[in-house]
Amino acid sequence: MKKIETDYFIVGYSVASWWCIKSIVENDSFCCIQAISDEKTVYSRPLITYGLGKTINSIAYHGTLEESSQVQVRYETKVKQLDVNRKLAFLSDETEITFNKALIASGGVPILPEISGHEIPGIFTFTRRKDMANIDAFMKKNSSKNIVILGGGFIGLKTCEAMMSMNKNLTLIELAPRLLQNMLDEEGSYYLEKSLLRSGVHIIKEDTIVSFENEKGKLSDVLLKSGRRIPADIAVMAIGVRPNVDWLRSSNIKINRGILVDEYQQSSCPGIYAAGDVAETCHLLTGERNVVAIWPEAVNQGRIAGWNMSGRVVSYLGSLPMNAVEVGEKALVSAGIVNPTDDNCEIIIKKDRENYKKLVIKDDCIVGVIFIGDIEKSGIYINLMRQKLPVQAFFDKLLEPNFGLINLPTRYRKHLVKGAGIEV
Amino acid sequence: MMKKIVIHEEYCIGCRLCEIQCLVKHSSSGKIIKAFREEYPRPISRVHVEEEGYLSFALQCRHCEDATCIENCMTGAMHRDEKSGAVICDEEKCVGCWMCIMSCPFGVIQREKKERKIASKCDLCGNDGEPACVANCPNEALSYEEN
Amino acid sequence: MKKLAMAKSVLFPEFKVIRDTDRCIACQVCVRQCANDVHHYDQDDDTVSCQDERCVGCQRCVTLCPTNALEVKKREVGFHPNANWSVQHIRNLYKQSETGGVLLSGMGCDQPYRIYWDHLLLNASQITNPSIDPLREPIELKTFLGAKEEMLDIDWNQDFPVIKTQLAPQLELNLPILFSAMSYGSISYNAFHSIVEAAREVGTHCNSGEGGLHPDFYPYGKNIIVQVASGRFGVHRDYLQVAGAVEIKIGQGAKPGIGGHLPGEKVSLEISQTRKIPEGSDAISPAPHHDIYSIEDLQRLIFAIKESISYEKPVSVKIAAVHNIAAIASGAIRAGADIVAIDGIRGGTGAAPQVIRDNVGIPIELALAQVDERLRQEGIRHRASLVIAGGIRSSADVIKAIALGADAVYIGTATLVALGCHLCQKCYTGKCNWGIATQDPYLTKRLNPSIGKRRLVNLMRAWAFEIKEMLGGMGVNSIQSLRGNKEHLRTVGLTREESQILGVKPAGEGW
Repeated sequence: MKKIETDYFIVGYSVASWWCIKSIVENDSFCCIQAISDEKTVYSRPLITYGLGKTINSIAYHGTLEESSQVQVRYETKVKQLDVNRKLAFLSDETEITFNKALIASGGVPILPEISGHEIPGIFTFTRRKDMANIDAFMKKNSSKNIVILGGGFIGLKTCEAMMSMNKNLTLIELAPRLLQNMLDEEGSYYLEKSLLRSGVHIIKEDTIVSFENEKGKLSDVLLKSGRRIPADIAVMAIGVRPNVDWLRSSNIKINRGILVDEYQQSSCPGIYAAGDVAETCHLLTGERNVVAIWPEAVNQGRIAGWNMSGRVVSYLGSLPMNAVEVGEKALVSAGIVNPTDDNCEIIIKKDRENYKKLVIKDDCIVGVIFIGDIEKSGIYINLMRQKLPVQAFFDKLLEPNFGLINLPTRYRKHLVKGAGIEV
Repeated sequence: MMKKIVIHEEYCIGCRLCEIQCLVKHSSSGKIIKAFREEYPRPISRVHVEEEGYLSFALQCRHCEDATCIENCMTGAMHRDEKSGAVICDEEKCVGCWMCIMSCPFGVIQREKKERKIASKCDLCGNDGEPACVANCPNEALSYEEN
Repeated sequence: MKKLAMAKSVLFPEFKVIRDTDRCIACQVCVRQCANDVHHYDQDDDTVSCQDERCVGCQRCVTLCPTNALEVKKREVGFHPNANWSVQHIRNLYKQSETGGVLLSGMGCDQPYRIYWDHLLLNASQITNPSIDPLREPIELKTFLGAKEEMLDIDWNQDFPVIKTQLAPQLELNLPILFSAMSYGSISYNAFHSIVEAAREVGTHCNSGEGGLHPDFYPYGKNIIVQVASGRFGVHRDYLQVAGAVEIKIGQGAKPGIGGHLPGEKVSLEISQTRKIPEGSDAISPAPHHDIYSIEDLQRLIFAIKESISYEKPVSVKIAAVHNIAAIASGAIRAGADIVAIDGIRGGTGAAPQVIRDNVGIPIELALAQVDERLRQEGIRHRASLVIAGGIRSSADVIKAIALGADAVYIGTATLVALGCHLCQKCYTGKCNWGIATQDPYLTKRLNPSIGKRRLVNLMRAWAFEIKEMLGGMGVNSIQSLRGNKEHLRTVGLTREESQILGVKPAGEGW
């Protein structure tokens, strides 16, 4: 049993941790940081779908990581037990770490429903590098013409995107009446489906898998709730991820769906912070509690946690869900609240055969954006949403094809650049 | 010190010669008639003129100091060039995930389809003298200056 | 303008736009840049076509086309050759029979009358009285405009000679060239801005023209000669106080006998505020000053102005070169003018009836020679400086003008050409594609004042050096030595009468 003392202890070494460490080192140049990761190497997790589809050769992350000697990372290590009161952690490699401040950034784990036959080879989740390696290895050794993807959410679609370039029979199964239930509205999802159908993807909605069937020990079909039977050589469970908090159930940290944090990214236990897919923050626009498991959030939350941990008090305004995906030549961007339940919202839509643009406006501010087709200017609207800029003055111009910074108030666009930039 | 493109909107005449020359500079041939007529797909311009009534200006990447596109890039393809300080997309590494397009508050990044889908934006013409848009503006509405 | 309701116009397009389709890339720069909507983009077949009948020949599209695919030429009309009934005359007849209106035009007289500058030649030093190299020796171009004394009372007994006589107010110029009177209204704010900036940087003066002075330009006042014209536009106390000098405009070379004309299209909000007239209304100056009907009235106005500026600045009188110019100039000087500005038939304008522009007035070269001669004979040449205007095209014209007797020259058309003007003569439409003779905010942007100023300063610098070269070549090291020194000129290709009127010997005759 090795005993180590450190100023900062980081659980998990992915996006949120990278940015947390960067912020800490900025403020505290002489501290000691110990980080652990249950992976073998550093890589960019969202790239696994591109790695499988052979779009790129390597899924390594080429961005900047903090390389100073203050940081030490242990790979293939987990926390066996966390004592939040004594600020002590027992690791899987028999080390005992005492720390002053800790960040929990253990990410998410795939949602795995109990389906009979789930132990048959050929059934995979797809959230980690080893999943990508396993699927790749399986495809090389076995015939894998028919692929079934369970889950029509963001992860299911990214998996679909990866496999579309591999000349397979793809079937996408979704429980809800439409794809991307949370990210799109009914009309928008129609554009998405049309694009997927054009690319030859078979879509089944309002259904789910009740059992996996095998033939001679190998996966042969999936049986659906509706009674249909779909041939399958490979099945990917891509329903979604949930925060990786099971290992913390025994500690005192307040957990809802994820670790509950305040506006300083601190959990209910003083000195213990959380960021990224594991944290449950407040929605930027509604203030409601939510887990927003996307890369930009991991960056922001990790950075804020790092500052607060190292003594610079900064509060986080809240999380904004947003995502971009392109399947079958149709790009789509969705951000904010796109299916408002509130009657006080005004919705404006501009659409034609190839493009669909929808804005949800409440109290004179943009609260939801869906862009399908031409997504180039979406960043402007998302920033307006983030800044909560009133849109009354240029409301008529909002969905015009040439809408741009020129339509915004001059004072706003002249101060838009972050830091010392050149004004527009 | 880093040189950036300064916009003088009071002198922009909306001719769009900046867009044309940017396109030519980033084409394979570098020659205007060939670039427009013979290259397919036609190369795209990284600068765009926004126009509203009498006001117009040419907008390209601002090469922000705290660039959100660099933070949100999943591969690290979007990076800052050491020498010029410009924000550049490494086309070898880009996978076309469009996180940067979603993050840019100026809306100056575009999708481009070459052998693969990649994100395309102003690269200050490789820091090789004055950028094409600045050099070819007939009314000096763009200038290349230290910050 | 009334048009015949049903009948087809027999007017043919003046210009032809030739597009080299091998070079045209349909980039649409020409479409966007033409204020007359000549070019059109067809989205269906991705081509640009043109409607020649609207083209005014300003060459904007030709200049900006990135592949040089355009050529704009005067259209060749297939009339039977006729030396008497020129194409111009026939066009004018068609136009007038269709509209019943007075034909307007911009810029100066374009008819092929004799240009006397081109028949005057300069001297140079040879063996004795050697040339001076301007790169090694200083050559003085400094010029003072104002009334000069007949006798100077000098005290020689001090450390330096001290002039005891009180001198009349003078304008100090670094070189004998000023920017001519072009009103804010006929030209754009940006054009005016370029001119005042250049005047200040070069160390000379410009003229406000009859459009008043925009308050933004008051800081440049010391380099501006403000005009009091028959319409008295924009004349008020501050206007006279900030100026470097005041000029009473009796007439101008482009349209002697009638007043200025600014069409309503060019009277924007800013113009109306500067001139103090209603927005959108035509600004027509009356032909005479309605308080000047005799030379004594002129004297009264001159002294009223001098009183209001406390005799601190020179007062100039601008007259057009007409037949009796010598007597008129003499009268003006005796009425108290410190500077007399004479504008010849080639002088430019923003809008004038074409018949008057092309047929009224006389060439400035002849007027200048006669005025200078007459004033010397009367012994009053020193009482005022002579500044001439009307078609000065190069530094050679400047030197010849000085040698003929001028103290300085005004350049108008040359200034605008330096700013980008292509002399299409359509200034009165207010659609100047170069941003010079327009008030349309979309078009005025095209003239960037910092570029405009740079071009004018470059022009002045180039001309100053050429003048020094020519002076040095004559063995003269100060412009003052050349003033009225007609021995340094010879005529070539003129009749004996013309040479005599100019007071210049024909080439070949010695001293």
